[in-house]
Amino acid sequence: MRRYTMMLMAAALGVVSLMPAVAWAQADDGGALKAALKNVAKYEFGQSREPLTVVADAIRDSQNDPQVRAKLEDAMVVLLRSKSTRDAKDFACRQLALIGTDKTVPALAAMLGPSDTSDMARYALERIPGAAADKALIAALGRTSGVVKVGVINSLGARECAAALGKLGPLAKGGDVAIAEAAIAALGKIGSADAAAALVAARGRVADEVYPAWVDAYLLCADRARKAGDAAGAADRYAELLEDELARVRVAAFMGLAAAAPERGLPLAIDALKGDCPDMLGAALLCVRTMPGANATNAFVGLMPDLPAPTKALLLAALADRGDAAALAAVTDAAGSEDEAVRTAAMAALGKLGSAGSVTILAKAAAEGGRTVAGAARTSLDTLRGNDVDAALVALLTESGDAGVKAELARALAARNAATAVPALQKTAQDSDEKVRAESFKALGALAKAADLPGLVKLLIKVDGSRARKEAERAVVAVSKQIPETDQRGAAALAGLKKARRAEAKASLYAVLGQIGDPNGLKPLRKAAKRGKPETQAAAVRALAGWPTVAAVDDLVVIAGRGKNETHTALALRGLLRLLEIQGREGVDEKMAYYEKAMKAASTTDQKKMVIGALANVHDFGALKLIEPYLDDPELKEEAVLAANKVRTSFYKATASAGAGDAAKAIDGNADSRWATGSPQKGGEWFQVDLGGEYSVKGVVLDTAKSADDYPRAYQVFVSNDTDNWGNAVAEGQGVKGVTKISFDALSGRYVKIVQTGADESNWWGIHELSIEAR
Amino acid sequence: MATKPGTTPTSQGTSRRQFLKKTATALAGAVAFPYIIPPSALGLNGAVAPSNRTVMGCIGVGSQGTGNMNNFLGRKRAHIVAVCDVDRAHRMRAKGLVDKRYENEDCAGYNDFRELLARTDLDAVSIAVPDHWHAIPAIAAANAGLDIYAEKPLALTIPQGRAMCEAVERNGRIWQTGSWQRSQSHFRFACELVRSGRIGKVHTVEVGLPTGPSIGPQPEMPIPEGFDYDFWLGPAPWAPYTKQRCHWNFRWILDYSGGQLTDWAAHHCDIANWGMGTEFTGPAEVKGKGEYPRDGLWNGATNYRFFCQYPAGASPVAPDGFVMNVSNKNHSGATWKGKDGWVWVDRGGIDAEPKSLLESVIEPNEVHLYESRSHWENFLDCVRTRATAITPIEVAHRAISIAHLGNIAMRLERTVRWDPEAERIIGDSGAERLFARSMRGPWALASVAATIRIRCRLRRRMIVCERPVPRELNGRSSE
Repeated sequence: MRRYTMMLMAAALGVVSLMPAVAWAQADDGGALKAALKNVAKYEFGQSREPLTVVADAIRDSQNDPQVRAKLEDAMVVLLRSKSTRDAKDFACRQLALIGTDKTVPALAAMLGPSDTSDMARYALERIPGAAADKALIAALGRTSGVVKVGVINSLGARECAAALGKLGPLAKGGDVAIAEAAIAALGKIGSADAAAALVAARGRVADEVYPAWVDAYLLCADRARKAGDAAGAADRYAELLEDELARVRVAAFMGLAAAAPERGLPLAIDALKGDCPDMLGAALLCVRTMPGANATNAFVGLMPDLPAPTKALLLAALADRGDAAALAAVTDAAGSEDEAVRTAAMAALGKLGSAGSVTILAKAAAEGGRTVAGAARTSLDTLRGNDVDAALVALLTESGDAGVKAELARALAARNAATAVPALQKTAQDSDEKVRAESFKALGALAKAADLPGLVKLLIKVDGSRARKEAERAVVAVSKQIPETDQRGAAALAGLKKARRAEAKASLYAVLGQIGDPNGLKPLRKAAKRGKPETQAAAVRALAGWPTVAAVDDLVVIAGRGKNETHTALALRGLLRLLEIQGREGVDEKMAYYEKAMKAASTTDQKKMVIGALANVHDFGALKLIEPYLDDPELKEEAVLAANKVRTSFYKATASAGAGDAAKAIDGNADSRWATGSPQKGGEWFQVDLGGEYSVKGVVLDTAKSADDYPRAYQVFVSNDTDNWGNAVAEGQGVKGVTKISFDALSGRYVKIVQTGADESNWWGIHELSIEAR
Repeated sequence: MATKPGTTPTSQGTSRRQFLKKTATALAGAVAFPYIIPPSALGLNGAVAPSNRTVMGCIGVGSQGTGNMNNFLGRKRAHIVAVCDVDRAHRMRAKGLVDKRYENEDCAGYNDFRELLARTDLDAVSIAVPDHWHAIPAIAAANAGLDIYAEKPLALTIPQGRAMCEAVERNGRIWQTGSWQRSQSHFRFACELVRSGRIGKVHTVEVGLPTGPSIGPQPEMPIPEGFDYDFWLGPAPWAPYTKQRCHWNFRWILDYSGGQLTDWAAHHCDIANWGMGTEFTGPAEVKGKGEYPRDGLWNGATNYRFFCQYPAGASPVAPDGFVMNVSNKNHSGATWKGKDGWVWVDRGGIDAEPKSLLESVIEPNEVHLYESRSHWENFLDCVRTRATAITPIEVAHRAISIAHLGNIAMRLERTVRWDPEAERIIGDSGAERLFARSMRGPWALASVAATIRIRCRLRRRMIVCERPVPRELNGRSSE
């Protein structure tokens, strides 16, 4: 027996006086529930709802104990009948919605009449199964009016109460619009043949203003019949509404009829596609997508020649979604249309319905069509399904004499991940047209395997044209990176370097080596960076600057230190700073030494700014030391101050009187995140920052702009060197909506504390971003 | 000067339907004029033809609704003519944004969504209201013949969601749910990897959602001026006003939502379904444990974990069945675990094992899922072509049904058995009682007919293919 079983029995005794005294005496901890029930009776919104939770838990836990549950039900009924608060009665209704039985019904029925209790009585009654609740609601029809009566009718509808048909029928024909409308709607929800008959009987008496409700209800009855398997009966009901004056009713009737009896819906769909009613055309397009049967496909396709171009385009899209390949011939035919919209739709449809035989049309359109036609054709080329489609693309790539078509085919083969196309692409990578060469290399980068690398490098060495060369470099890099062993990745490129004669070929191979990061590539790069033709030297420096690991840092220090070529120095510094950043916290002392070398090598103001900017992201006091000499340099002061502040801030640690887990969000440099108290401002809440060292502090900015109402209503600011002795406030005042800026006489200290001293009945105190002016 | 609802709109506000009606009249006797012009037929200067513009109203323009509204405002193919919110401050701010965008004062403002829906010039609506209000205006809009972009989670309860699905289907409407993750390429790619069998037979899907918040008891407060609180409560049980109940915070309260669980399940359970191909079915059994705050205003689950058992055959990539494990303790996002590896995806990225999956290409003969590059653009495309949008209503309904069943199982602390075909709880009358909710006052899912009653009374006999002008709205001032 669960804990509450005994508690409940005792509680029921105390409150309901239905249990024998012995049960009460047997309860070990029965006082809790008894007290909770007593408190529930007095409960008002705004108080703790803990007693409600105790009772609700007891009700939930009684699910396997009918006796206990019955007592709890009694207790809830007592709440309804006693002088308990309205909130207590509402609570009882909510619980009775879960556990109420026939014995509860009279108490709820008594509440159905008064407007202030009727809603919650229905809240419970609607969920109580059985005829007693039905009867209570039906009986209430005779003694209610207005909104209350509408609610009762709605509940009968929600319960799909067939027993109410006799009452609802007359009400549906009545003169009170709101009640008639509710009664009609309830008949629709009941949805039975009898309900439909009642609706038919009421139709002639229904006022115009209630007619939409009648239509909805009648359609619901037809839907119900269709779902119950009475397709013919449903279809007849839909058909009655096909000539309705309201377009939306005709649409609904057509949609229903098409679902219930496709053979009757098809001619209507055909008429709608040919017709001029936009609502019906829209509905017909939906049916094209869903109506079953080959005869339907044939009928829709047969319409194509006679339709105006825009409708034809829409029909093509719908046929594509329909997915019946029987429409392929018509779609292919439409691909030759003079109308751009029709051609676009046809190209898109070929992607869904087409086959290998559609490749030529699509490739030509992708190459020559206007922007929208080409876009649709490309998408279709990329997604065309079928085991023989890739082969068709390769065959056309080999045979075609049209450079545009070949380029499109190469692109599509890559998008399709067609690995079998590599040999053909290696040939077209030597095509006389640069566009074809570039697309072929691009595709090879996606499709070639490591075994293809030597051949690919040969092609790179030979290739002409800057665009094709760039794509060839990318292809070699991409394929080289497939090799898992880093020190093997550069083998093909290094072998190629021995054979390359042209400077541009060497420059390309240096670029490749710089990106793949094979350590064997460092030696030739170092050599090339020292001497050689300007273009190969620059390529080698660029490759070292882009080297993916810290192995190149010493090389970059050397290059930057030479100071002979400003471009080389800038490239080397940028590369060095990037590598130091990706190194993280590892070997921080050594890292700071490199920053120092970088600073020494920086010869221009811009280069120094670059180094200072990089130091801003270093979480180390060593960075502050390196920045410090520039704090008073007129040319570098601005960057140096910003960088020093950023480094200092990275040492801040924040905590708070509430929501301490989020305190760091107030100093994370992100104004979208925030810290907040999580409860309305009462006074005494605080937010504290440890600056990580002693500074001269002279201002605080509290940015609450993104939660404008959560600014501190009043504040005090304290600065101290320890967290026990704060001394007097250095500033105090009223916060302002948005951003509160606080300045005060500079004071030395390590800790800053802001105390919220105002109050607001509903708004929290929050800080999106806190700035401290300290030096 | 504001345009009055129902009066002749400006040329910018001419709806697709009105344009076509006029054009059709002009071309009477000639060929039938279609009402949709594909993008390629647009003007060369980038202007959008009136026939191709979707005229929209926005219902609910708080934070999420304003975000959606701004997304439509930024597109030439959409034109917003009206906004609606029960909070005057929201309404006026939204109207200001629309007017600023179009450099006029024409945007109408409404307190009551029914008045907005009674306009004759709308093609579509964007709905972003609290969850307890999702079903009624959505069904009303569908019954009014409008296409709908609406926020997740789809509905407050499973029956409400089902009624919404039926209304949209019955009326042949285009529906886009605001579960926009589907329009992000890395989510699609993750699902395509799973659906293409790259991780083998899937046995488990873990869905990680955020932890729910809690708050102490709140005092009753005066209702702010300009906030129609009674309308805001609408079909939910009456409750005293307090600030932390309303607007963004409604989602933590079970009268109006399903807590953090449903708020995020609409995203990540949807993606989990997409990857499993279970978008049109559901689990056979759900069990779990949730911690619901014992005190305070917010009562949605804070910590939770539940397990959904899917039978063999439910998913094409889990022939032996699988378990969907949903919890705030799981890795945020969706993680599919299969015999040969795993795939994880979240807003922050994608990961997989083996890693080579991440660089792989989904080949033409593998599974390619619906591609959308913009959730809002996709909706406008589908309004024009009548194609199904990327997050149609049935898919959204099935995604959130998982969370609703999880909440029911956790609140009852027992296993719930589920028939996804009939959408019925099996053999548990107690659980069925948590399945649906009664609606307060005159509100009911069926009462939506009132939305278009006004227009019908006046013009029922002469309606052809356009919406009539609701005469009683003529002359009414709008904000």
